[in-house]
Amino acid sequence: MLRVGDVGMSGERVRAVLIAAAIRIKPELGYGGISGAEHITADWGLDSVDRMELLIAVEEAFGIEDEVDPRVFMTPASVNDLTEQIMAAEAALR
Amino acid sequence: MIPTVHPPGAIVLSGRTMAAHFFRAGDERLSHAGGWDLVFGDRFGRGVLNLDGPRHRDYRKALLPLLTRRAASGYEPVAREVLDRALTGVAADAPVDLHALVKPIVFEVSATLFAGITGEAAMELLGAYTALQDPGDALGTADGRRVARQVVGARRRLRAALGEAVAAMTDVDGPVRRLRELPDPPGDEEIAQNLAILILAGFETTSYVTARMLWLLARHPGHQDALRADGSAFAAVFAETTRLHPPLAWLPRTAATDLSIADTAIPAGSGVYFDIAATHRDPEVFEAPDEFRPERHAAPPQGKFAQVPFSAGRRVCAGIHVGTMEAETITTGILRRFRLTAPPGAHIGDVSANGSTVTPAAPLLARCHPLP
Ligand code: HEM
Repeated sequence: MLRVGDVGMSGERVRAVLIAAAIRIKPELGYGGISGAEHITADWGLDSVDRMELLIAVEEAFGIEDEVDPRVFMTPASVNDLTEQIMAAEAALR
Repeated sequence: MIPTVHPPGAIVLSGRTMAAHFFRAGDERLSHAGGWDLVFGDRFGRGVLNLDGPRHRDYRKALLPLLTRRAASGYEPVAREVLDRALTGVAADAPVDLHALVKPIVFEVSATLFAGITGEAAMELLGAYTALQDPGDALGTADGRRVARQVVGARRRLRAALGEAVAAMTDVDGPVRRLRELPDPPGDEEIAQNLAILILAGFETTSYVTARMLWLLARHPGHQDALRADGSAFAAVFAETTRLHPPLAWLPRTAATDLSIADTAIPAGSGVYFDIAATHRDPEVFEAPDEFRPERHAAPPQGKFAQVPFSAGRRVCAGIHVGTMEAETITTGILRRFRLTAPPGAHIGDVSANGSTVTPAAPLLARCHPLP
């Protein structure tokens, strides 16, 4: 299986993947310009299924399976927080 | 009381007086979109059930001609055909889970009528709906990925199937064409979401009510025989079933602005629920309210809002005629072929996982004995 490092899983790329996935779920988010600091639930209106979608988007974008702990996706407030947590968890796997 | 959870701070209203306030508030005061987001988010998209304002009004107006009493009786052959096919697989004399039997039938009828999706494809779509309706707690556990993949896959399949349906339904007089004929027509993606919501609103409610009705009839052989002998008994049995077991036990809303309802201050954003199930068991209105007594419906219930299984007012259920036709076709069709029996035992109540729709607390089992 591909390891994270092999496909260059930088924080910046993870963040871009998450934002692209959010816009796919809610196209209207794309019109306003997104900073990544918005609250995923309160500002963007993403629910628990949408958070699952973000998890799958990261897995698909980086060709990884069973590497990211789903629990990481449960609570973070913003995409920026989420990116940080994913990268921290990945660093711990190394 | 049906066990459930409502969000912290939510206000639950019940009874006829509160009903008047609740049903008369427009969606600019009590939001349907916000309310249904509390129940299943917007993961089925948006349609007539969970939109507010002018878009809701336009879509509802466009779809109503497809849902009249006359239109519903035109759909009856579809319901009969799907039922006949399903009943060939029923095991004689063995216990059958009535909800599991009825749900795919009602689903296929809805999917056929509104999206032209039949047979195997309809069953796949039902699988996607089921996964999305109760997505579970995939993000709460370290190995929740499998569930997350299933749920996300289900949503993608649902979108793909209904997207294809929009293309395939272009030349049919159905919801796709009616919505496209609006002066300011929605795009294909929005039309697909409307189909998703129309199917959702129709199949869960109707299949639950029909399963309940069959179960009650299995437990009340006298009423079962009476209905088998005379179809005109259906209306009272249906009314009594939806009184005891309204499939939407609570109607969900959020306060769109700061509100005051009967001297209760409700801050903007609060969840507000109307408790239909409790209202239907008011002993002041219904004698022995917990008992199954179709006879009580010989006369209409006293008092406005005493019985509101289809809601009331401007946003009353759009599918009353279709839902009633489906329930009647399936119930009388089954009674023609089978005598139903169910073990006595305690009444099986309802539970609600999402604060609005109910499911039986235990499987509703009955035996189907073929009639000559
Ligand atoms: C026994 C069967 C049914 C029952 C008890 C039932 C009940 C209800 C209730 C209580 C509402 C109000 C929801 C709310 O206020 O938030 C509703 C709305 C709705 N129902 Fe039904 N329903 C049934 C069958 C159907 C069927 C078969 C269809 C479609 C063919 C359907 C389509 C709708 C739609 C589109 C709405 C939204 C109306 C609006 O907000 O303007 N229903 N239903």
